[in-house]
Parts: sequence; structure tokens; C-alpha cells
Amino acid sequence: MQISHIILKDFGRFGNFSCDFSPGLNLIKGANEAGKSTLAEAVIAALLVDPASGSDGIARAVRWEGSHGPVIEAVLDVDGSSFKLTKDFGQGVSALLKDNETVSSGDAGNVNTWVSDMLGMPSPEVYKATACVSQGKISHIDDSIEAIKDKLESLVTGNKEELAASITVKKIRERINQIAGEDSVSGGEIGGIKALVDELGYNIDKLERDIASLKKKRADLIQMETAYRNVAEDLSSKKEKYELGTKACELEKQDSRLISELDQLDKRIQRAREANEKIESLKSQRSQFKKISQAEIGEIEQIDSSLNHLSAKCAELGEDANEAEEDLKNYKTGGIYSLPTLIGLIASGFFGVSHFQGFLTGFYPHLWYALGGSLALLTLGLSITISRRQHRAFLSKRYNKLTGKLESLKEDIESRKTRLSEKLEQFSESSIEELKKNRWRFEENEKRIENETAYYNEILDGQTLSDLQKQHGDLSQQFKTASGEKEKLSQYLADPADLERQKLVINEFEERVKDLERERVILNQQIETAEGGSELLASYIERKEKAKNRMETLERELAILELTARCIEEARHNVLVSKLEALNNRTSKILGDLTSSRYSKVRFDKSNLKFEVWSDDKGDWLDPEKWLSAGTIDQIYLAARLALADLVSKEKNSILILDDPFASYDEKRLENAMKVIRELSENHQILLLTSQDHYDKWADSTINL
Amino acid sequence: MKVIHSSAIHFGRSFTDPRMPGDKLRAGIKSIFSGIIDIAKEESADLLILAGDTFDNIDVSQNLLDFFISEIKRLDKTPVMVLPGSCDQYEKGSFWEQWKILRPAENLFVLANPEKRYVEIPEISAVVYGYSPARNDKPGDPLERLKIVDGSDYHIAVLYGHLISDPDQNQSEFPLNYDKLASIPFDYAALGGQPEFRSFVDVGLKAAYAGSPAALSPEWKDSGNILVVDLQKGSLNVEPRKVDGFIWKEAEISMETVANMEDLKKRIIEMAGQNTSLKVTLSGLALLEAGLNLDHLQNELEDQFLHIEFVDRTRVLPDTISEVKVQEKTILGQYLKVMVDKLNSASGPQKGDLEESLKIGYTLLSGREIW
Repeated sequence: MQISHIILKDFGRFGNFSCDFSPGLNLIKGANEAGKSTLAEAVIAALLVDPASGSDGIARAVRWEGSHGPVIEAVLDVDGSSFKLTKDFGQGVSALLKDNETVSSGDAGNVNTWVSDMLGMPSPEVYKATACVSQGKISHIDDSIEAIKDKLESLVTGNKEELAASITVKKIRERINQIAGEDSVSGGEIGGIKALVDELGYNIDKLERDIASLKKKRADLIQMETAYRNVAEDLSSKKEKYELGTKACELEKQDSRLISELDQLDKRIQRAREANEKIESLKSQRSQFKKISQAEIGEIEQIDSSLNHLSAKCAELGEDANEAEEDLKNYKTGGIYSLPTLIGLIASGFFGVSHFQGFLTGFYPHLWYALGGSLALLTLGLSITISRRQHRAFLSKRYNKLTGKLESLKEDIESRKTRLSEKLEQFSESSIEELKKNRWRFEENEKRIENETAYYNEILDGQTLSDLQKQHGDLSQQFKTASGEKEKLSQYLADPADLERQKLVINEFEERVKDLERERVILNQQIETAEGGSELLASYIERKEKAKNRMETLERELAILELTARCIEEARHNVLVSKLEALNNRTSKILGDLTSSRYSKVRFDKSNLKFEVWSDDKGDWLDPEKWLSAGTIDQIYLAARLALADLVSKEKNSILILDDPFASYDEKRLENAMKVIRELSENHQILLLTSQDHYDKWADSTINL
Repeated sequence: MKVIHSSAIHFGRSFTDPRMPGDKLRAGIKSIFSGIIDIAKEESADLLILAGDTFDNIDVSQNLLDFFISEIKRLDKTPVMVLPGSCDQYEKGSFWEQWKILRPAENLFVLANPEKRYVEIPEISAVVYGYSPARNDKPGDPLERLKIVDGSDYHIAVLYGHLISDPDQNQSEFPLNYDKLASIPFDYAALGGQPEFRSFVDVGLKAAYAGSPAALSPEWKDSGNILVVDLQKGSLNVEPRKVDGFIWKEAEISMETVANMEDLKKRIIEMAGQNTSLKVTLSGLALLEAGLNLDHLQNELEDQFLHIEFVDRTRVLPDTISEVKVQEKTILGQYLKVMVDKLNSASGPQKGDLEESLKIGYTLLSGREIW
């Protein structure tokens, strides 16, 4: 395969660049920073980098100022055919045309597969590790050893239907890691299962304890329930005994009360009977007394009283009459009492005449006085006489009146006496005192009846005697019943102190019952809320067994996977052995050319592709890293790379890109190296990047940047 | 008089085989029991008898006991006679004693009273006899101390154990003397202690084992029944009735008859059911091209089954290994060559490992995915 033309747009330092390549050795010359490496990178990108992966792999080629992503167009010549390859890293698309007809497009992966196949390189890594040689990086192939091995295997197996063994082994290793964990920390599936087994073991232990605890709680509950029932029964019995004792005591009290009540009732009845008898007796005495009404006795008393009063009055009036008679008799109207009048009359006549004469005569002053005195005396005498006469008339009248009154009073008295006598006769009493006595005795009897009746009623207290008797009968019956009950309960009869003690015991029992109830409720709650049980334990145990079983399965799978990996590695080894021989020979040949046959034997280790060099001087295989100079090591690695590139790309003759790898070589080494390059350029197109002129003579064409 | 007779429900059973879906089975047992209660209600049963091993042990959770009691209460006043068996043997301090004392359901009777080995049910004029010895009691035939109590129309025994005809040959811890049972004029003896149904009515003994309604093991072939017992004076009819229990299926599929993975899945799904446990044995030459991963297949299908299990007996190579033609230049060819060489010299478990390894290596090197 060869690249004949390339166009770069917005690729690294190249905004728009194109150049042609010729078969054989192409010298790309330019000063430092002229773009040699960028061009080499563009060739690699054109051949192997997938635009669909974005700018990965061409990071350095993306231009900051570019409006579009990098675009590469290349013309590839393969076995006489020309292919036009376009890779647009901005759009992430590729296209491969052959004779203007699309071989592959759109799916960049497909285009890459085509180009990779034409190039004979499986990946950019392998290509870089073999066909791309840079100064100072010749020995950098370690990262790609697995890819190279894969390629070598595919060389043997014809790169047909098989996936590379390394991918298979890698998958197996991934599965192993998945099962066993990549490290001791992650633990993988087995670690997870071990953790699960441990967790389940912990849960099982805990649950077993919980179950034992539940079992104990159930047993405790039963004991508690039994104790509760016994205590409750005991309490009930004690309560019953206490209640019966209390009742017996009450009956005892009731008995006493009934006896007392009966006794009182007996007495009451007795008293009532006696009172009744007395009342009857008193009532029977009523016939001995005349029944005098209060009005009659009042009337009689009034008569009697009036008689007394009238008699007194009569006596008094008699005395008054006698006195009036006496007064009348003794009261005189003439005589001496008429003397003043007479004297006055005479004197008045005298002095009146005298006066008249004196008036006439003039003797005058003394006569007036004498006449006056005489007239006064006359008036006095007349007044006395009139007054006495009047008084006598009064006395006479008074006497007559008193006498009339006395007579009238005497008649009245007589009338009343008659009436009194009639009344007394009516009641057959001789005197009013007797009558009154009778009346008093009657009233006394009545009063006694009344008192007795009041007493009787007081005894009965609103009831009748028959009520009391009935009550007595009832009480007697009650007493009888109570006595019967008391007799029955006599065994429970206890004194109050004993009852009090029983009460205390009952209280204690009630407290105990309450405590037991509380404990029972708590236990019940604990049992009801207990989540564990044998079925959960079974579930845990089963899960643990399943997990252990799964772990055993995984451990067996691990063993089988290891076995499988080993067997595939064995098969792979068998495949590599055949190809490594060719690699050893080719590398030895190139190394011999490079070192002027100083080192001409190389062998690769099939497991890691590390190689050793045969030293004739030492007569042994040497590890180049330990025994050889840096320059010789570079030569060996160059030989190995070129041999690998040759073998890996096989007849595809991939393009070799050499980025000034011999800058530090001396003239002799350079000569040898360029001879080898020239030889390779017969089958490979080679792009040699340099800033110097000493390759010019070897070049088939030169591109100056 | 109608009696529903069941036994060996095994609530809370543990399964030692880690392949058994314990949680699903235990949940299924609860559903089955609810189904039994439904049947008892539909049949207007006069009596429900659970003749032993109702629970798998006496350490079951309170939740489970609560569930049981709530189901029993659904029967309202219909008496439920529960006889402890050997798995859930009566023990002092256990929930049995708790139930005997606390009576969590009015219609629940625990037949474990050593003093009074019968329960009178005047409502149906019946006496139910039964006694199960406590764990530390002296074992013996419970029939020895069962005596008919006069005054009722029906006399029903609930017994747990193994019927034995020759007491001298007895090796059972729970013997039931056949002749003794025949001599007691029970109208029906509800037997427990056997996982499978068996009736003795046809041979003149008014007794039957109900077996387990749950069919908890593929070995319990004749289980998954309850008995509907129609009891009249002078007549007895015992009818086993299937309950919606577990189904155990086994199938062998030759991979040589399977076109592809979809075909295999389709054939397995045809046997699916939520109560079905299926054991599929794959045989024949392995269909390696199908990228068979049994773990994936099991995960994909297990929701459609109670349980599904694969036994891989497929071969990756013909029976005669010498017939294997390998292209030694290819990795796969080299691998097959290596494996054939190893298989030829291997034996026993090593050979099994190599065969498993070969399946993996072959599948992966052929470009098929396994994981």
C-alpha cells in the first residue's frame, strides 16, 4: 500500500496543504516547527484514526482558529487500484471511494476497517509501535505488545473467524475480576456473597436469639397468665369471703338493730295499748259527769257573777240610798241660811231709802257703801237660799233615783237568782260550786283523754296500732330471715379488725392483679410486635445456603475460568511459537545489517515479546537493557520494529514513517541504517522526516516544507 | 354432617435444598390454607380438622400465628380442631399452651389435653377425640386412652401417627394400632402424619390420611388434597379434593431439537405457572451457537414459575472426541486440540471441569457473548 497524494485542511499548522508522495523513500524536509511531525501525524490519522471518535488521536491537529474541524483527503494506491479517502474530523465522517465509486462511507468504522486491512495494521497503536519510528522513542513499544501479539496470532490463524485470544482471555479475566474482585477490597461477586453470608450469619444469630427470647416470652406469658388467673381467682375468693364476712357483720348489726327495733316496737305497742286502755277508761268515766256546755257554764257563771256583782252593787246602792236619805234629811233650807237674805233685804231697803235721801240731802258718800254692802249681803243670802234649795232638790231627786235603782236592782237580783236556781236545778246541782266542780272534773277527764290521746298518737306517730303490729310482724319476719342468713354466714363472721385485715389483703391482691395485668399487656405487646420466627430464620438459612451454594458455584466457575484462560493461553502459545521463529529470523537479519553483523541473533519471548541478543563474545543470550549501550539498544529496537512492521503488515507492505530516527547515529551506523531503509523501501513506501541534508542521496523524492 | 379434614400444612417450613424457593413456598402455603378456609365456608362445613403438623415447628413467628388465627376466625362459629403433630409437637410454654389458656379464637380447639382427651360439640351432637403427646412425654399409641363418651350422635377421632398392623414390629415414634382403631366405634378417624392421601374406608376402616394440601416436595406424589367427609349415621363418604397447591414438573430437552434460544424459551414457557416448579434437564450436543447462558435464562424465566431450575447435561463435543477435526493453525483449532488432549487424559470431576471450560472457551473464541 502506498499513499500518493494528501490534502490537509485546518489540520494543525496547515490551513490548506497538499503534497504528492512517490513510491520508495520519500524525504520530507523542513526546519524545526515546519510541520514535519504534523504531516506524519496526518498520514497516520488518514490511515487509522476514526473521525467518529472525534478529535481523539489528533488532539494536536485541531486548530484553535479553525472554523471547521480537520479534514484529510488522501489518495491510496493498493495493488494497482486507486482509492480516494476522505476523513472529516469536524463532522466525524469518512468516505472511501474506488474509481469514484463508494467503497464505504458514513460508518467511519467500516472505512477504518477497510483502510486498516489494506495497510495490514490492526490499530493505530500497533502501527505506531511498529511502522512509526521517532527519534528517542524507538524502544517505546511496550504499550502495544498485546496488540502486536494479537496481530501475530492473526497472522498465523489467517485473521479469519476467531476473535483474538487476548480479547477472550481479557473477557475471562474481566469475568474473573467480576467474580473475585480486582483487589482484596472490592471483593467482586464472591466478596459480595461473603459479605451477604456474614450478614445472614449475623442475622441468623440475632434471629435465633430473638426466637429464643420469643419462646421465653411465650412461656413467661403463659406463666404470667396462669399466675394472673390464680391471683385473680384467689382475689375473687378473698373478695367473696370478705363480702360474705362484711355481709355477716352487717347481718349481725342488722340483727341487733332488728332486736332493738322489735323491742322498741314492742314497748311502743305496749304503751299504745296502755294509752288506749286508759283513753277508753277515761272515756267510760264521762258518764259520771254531766256534760255542761261551756256556754251553759258560761251563762251560769255569768249569772253567778252578775248576782255577785249586782248584790254588791245593791248593797252599795242601798248604802248610797241610805246616805242620800240621810243627806236629804240632814239638809236644811231655812233658818240661819235665810238670815243674810233678810238682813240684806232690810239693810238694802234701809240704805236704799237712805241713799235716796242722801242723794237728796247730800249725805251721800257713806250711804253708797252701806247700800252696796246691803245689796251684796242680800245677794249672798239669796244665793245661799237658792243654792240650798236647789241642792235639796237634788238630794231629793238623788234619793229617789237611788231608791228606784235599788228597787230595780233588787228585782233584777231576784230574777237572776231565780234563773240561777233553775239552772242549778237543771244540772241537779245544789250550788254553782258543785256545778263548777262537776264541770272541772268533766274537763279534767276530757283533758286527760286528750292528753292520753295525744300520748297515744305520739306513740303511734301517725300510724295505727295495727300498722305497728304489722310492722312488728314484718320486723319479726325480717329478724327471722336475717337470723337465718346470719346463721348461714356465721362461719364468715369476723370482727371488724379481721375484716380490715382482709380488706388490706384484697387491696394487695388487687394491686398484684393490676401489676400482673400490666406485665401481661407488656408481654403480649412484645410478643405481638416480635417480628422474628422460624420461617424468617428458615428464609435466612436458605438464603445463606443459597449464597454459599452460589459462592461454591462461583468458585468452581473461577477455577473453570482460570482453566479456560490457561488453556487458551496454551493454544495461543502454540500459535505464537510458529510465528516467533519468523520474527526472530527477520529481526536478526535486520540487526545484523545494522550492526555490521556484530549482533546477528535475536530471540523473542513468546509471552511478552521481550527479546534477548546473542553475544558471541559472551557466548550467551543477553538482556539488551542490562548489557548493551544505548546506541546498540536503539539499533536492536529499530531492527525489531522494522521486522515486526514487515511481518505484521505481511504482504500488505505498510507505509513506514521515520521521524528523523538516526539523528544521533554516527556515520557508520547511519550508513548501515540507511542501507536497511533502502532495502525496505523496495517493498514499503517510506516517509522519512528530517531537517538535515545527509539523507538526500538515499531519497527517491523530496518534499520540502 | 360435613367435615373438612386436612393435615401436614407445614406453615413456616424450612427447605434444606438451596434450590427450593423457600420464601415463595412459605407464602404459597398461606394461600393454600386460605383456600382451605374458603372451601370450608363454601361447603358450610360443620367441622374443620387439622390433623397434625399444621406448623413446621413451634418457633414460628407471631405474625404467622396471627395469620392462622385470623383465618380460623373467618369460619365464625365452625369449630376447628387442631392436633399437634411431630413437627409442631406440643410443648409447655409454646403457643399451643398459650392458645389453650388464652383461647385466641372461640372456635379453635387444641387437642392436647392429657386429662380430657375429647371435646364435646353439642351444637352438632359430636364428640371429637384426640390427643397428641407433649415433646417430653412418653411416646405411645394415643388410642390406648381414648374411650367413647356417650350422649352424642357422632364420634370423630383425630389421630397422628403411622398405622401399624403388628405392634411388635413397630419402629415408629407415633404408632397407631390398626386393630385397636378398628375396635373403637368411631364414625370417622381423621389421620395425620403422612404427606400423601390414603383412605382406608374401602377396606372397612373408617379412617383416612388427608396428606398435605401443599405438595411441598416433588416426592409427595399423592398430595395436594383436602378431604371432604360426608358423615351420616350409618354412612361415610370421604372425597379427596384438589386444592390449588404446588405443581412439580420435570422436563428434558435435547438441545439438538432446539432451533435457537427463542425456541428453547418458548418450549419452557409452555410449562409455566405461578405454582409450578420446573426442573429442566438440557441434554444432547450443546447449542453453542446460541450463546446459551443458563444463569441469564433462569433470571429471565423465573418470574413465570414458582421456581425454575436447569440441569446442564449438554455436550460440546461429539461422544467420540477423536472425531473432532481441528484446524490447528487457528487459535480455536489449537484450543480444541489442547482441550481434546486434556479430556482424553482426564476423568471424574476434572473431566467435568474441562467440559465446562470447553463450553466457555469454545463459546468465547467463537465470538459469542456469555456474560
